[in-house]
This record gives sequence, structure tokens and C-alpha cells, in this order.
Amino acid sequence: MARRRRPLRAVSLVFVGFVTLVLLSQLSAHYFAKAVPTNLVAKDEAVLASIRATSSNLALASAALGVVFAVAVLIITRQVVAADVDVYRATGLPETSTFLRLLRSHSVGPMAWVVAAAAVTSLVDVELGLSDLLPIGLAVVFAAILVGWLAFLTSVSFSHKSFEPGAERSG
Amino acid sequence: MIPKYQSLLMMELRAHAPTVLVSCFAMAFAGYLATFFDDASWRAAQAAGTTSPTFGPSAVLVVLATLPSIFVVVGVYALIDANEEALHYEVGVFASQGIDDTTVIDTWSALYGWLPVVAYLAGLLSYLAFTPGVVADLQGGLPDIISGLFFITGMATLIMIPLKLNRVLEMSPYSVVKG
Repeated sequence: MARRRRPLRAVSLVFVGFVTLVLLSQLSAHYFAKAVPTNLVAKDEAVLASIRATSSNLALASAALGVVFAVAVLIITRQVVAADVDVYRATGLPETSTFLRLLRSHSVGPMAWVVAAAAVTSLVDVELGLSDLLPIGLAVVFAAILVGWLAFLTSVSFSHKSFEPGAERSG
Repeated sequence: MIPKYQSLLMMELRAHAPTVLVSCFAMAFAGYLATFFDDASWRAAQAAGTTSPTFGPSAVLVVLATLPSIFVVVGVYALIDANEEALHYEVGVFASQGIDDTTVIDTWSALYGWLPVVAYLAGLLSYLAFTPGVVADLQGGLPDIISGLFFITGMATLIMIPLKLNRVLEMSPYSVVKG
């Protein structure tokens, strides 16, 4: 049986991995602050503030690194996804239908994973009193990048001339 | 065999430079993050009036310190997965040039396994180098922390990545030619 082609499977891994990495960075400050007895918190406020600051910087850096990774994976898989757009276009589908089909075939998996990761992360954040803005924001950015990328590939393909002989595009 | 391996390594490094760079940068970041977790735990322990750097539930600290590199290794795995079709094609080209599969796997493992692991170590050490006082703070536990993190990350990377690369090799048309 032929293996089902899922060129953006790798994107799911990156989405989940980096949303969780952001959560880990946030959790570090929480756990270390919790370890300090309440009566010593005021005395060691400077130490805790420094840990909190570094931890939130690293959470931001994790998010940025996740975006870089996601963009890298999308660029690497460009040809495979673009080939699908060309096939849909060659069968005579209009641009909107092609885009919707692309969304259905390539974005449902990664989106489901990122929504699940963001949901779990925000639940943990809410439970522990941490800010869930960053992981949710990262999930939204991931989703926007994915949808934007698919829209871009669709519009690039449809902006070329037709497949007919003598047309500008050969492949 | 060595000159062939070296020239293949340089050729592949040039061809996949962006992917290798992103992987190495991410691994270095994971190393930096892991050392920060250890340092933060020590500072929090000191603030709490205990002396051990691995205070409280040390399992939490071990998990916190090792997970960043595990997630980044999964990210590198994802990059290889995304690159799979191009790698299949390359295997065919290498096979036509008489390069055996062991050399190909060694080359790819060096690029996606060993280089990121070295970058991880560099990340671990860079936190120590650029954050004043950490070496003095963690003095006693430092060799254990560095070697433990490096061992766990190295094991994860050098098992997971070559497994994936072997799978890419097996699934490529080259295996048909070989058969």
C-alpha cells in the first residue's frame, strides 16, 4: 500500500515542540520561585526577579526560534506543496477551491497539533498563575504563517500563465 | 575512503548549510537554556537557604534541563523529515557515483548529529562563559551537570537522527538499485 504523503508532518512536530519549550521556560521561573520559603521571598526578591527576567527572555527566544524552525521547514517543503497546487490547477480548479483543498489536506494536522499544544499549555499556565499570552500568541503566529504560506504558494502558482504549449511556464 | 568522505562532507555542508546552521543554532540555544535552568536552580536553592544545587524535586530539574535539547532534536528530526525527498534524490546521485551507503550515512550523521551535539556543548559552555559567577557557584556539581546533559543529549541525537537517516536511505530508490 502506498504511503500517504504528508509533506507538512514535520511542521506539526516543530509547532508542538516549541510551544512546549516556551511553557518549559515559563515553568522554570515558577518552580524556582516556589522553592523559596514565603518568609524569604522579600529578602531574595532581587534573585527571583533576575531568574524571572532571564526565564521570560528565554521563553521569548524559544518562541522566536520556533518561528525560525517553522519557516525553515515550510521553505524546505515548498516544492512538494507547490506541486500539489499545480496538480489542482491543472485539473481546472479555481484559485479559491485550490486554496481550500490545500488547507484541508495540509493544514488540518499541524493546526490540530498546535491547538492541542496551546490548549494544554494555557491550561497549565492558568492553573499555575502564569501568563498564557506567549504560548497562545505563538500558536496563533504558527497558524497564521501556515495559512499565509499556503495562500502565497496558491497565488504564486495561479499568477503564472497556463500550462498550454507555448505558454511562459514550462513546468 | 577518507578523501572521498571529506569531499562529500564539504559538498553536503555547502548544499545544506542553512538547515545545518538552523539545527546547530537551535542546539546551542538548548544548551544555553539547560545551563540557565541549572544555574537558576542553584540560585533559588541558595535563596531558600539550602546548599544543594539540585534542591527540591530534583526530577523536575532534570526534566527541565534535558527537555529543551530533546525538543530541539525533534525539531532537527522534523527538518530531515521535510528534506526527505531531496535526500532520496541525493542518495540516487551518490549511488551513481559509486559512493556506498555507509559513507552517506556517516556524512549525514556528522552534519545532523555530531555538529549539533558539538553546538549543544558550545551552548552549555557559553552560558558559563558569559554569565559571571556561574562557574564558582556550580563548582562542585559542574562536571556532573555538563557531562550528564551532554550524555543525554548526545544519546538522544545520535540515536534518533541516524535512525531517521537510515530510514531515508532505505526508502530511497537507491535501495531498489542495490537490490
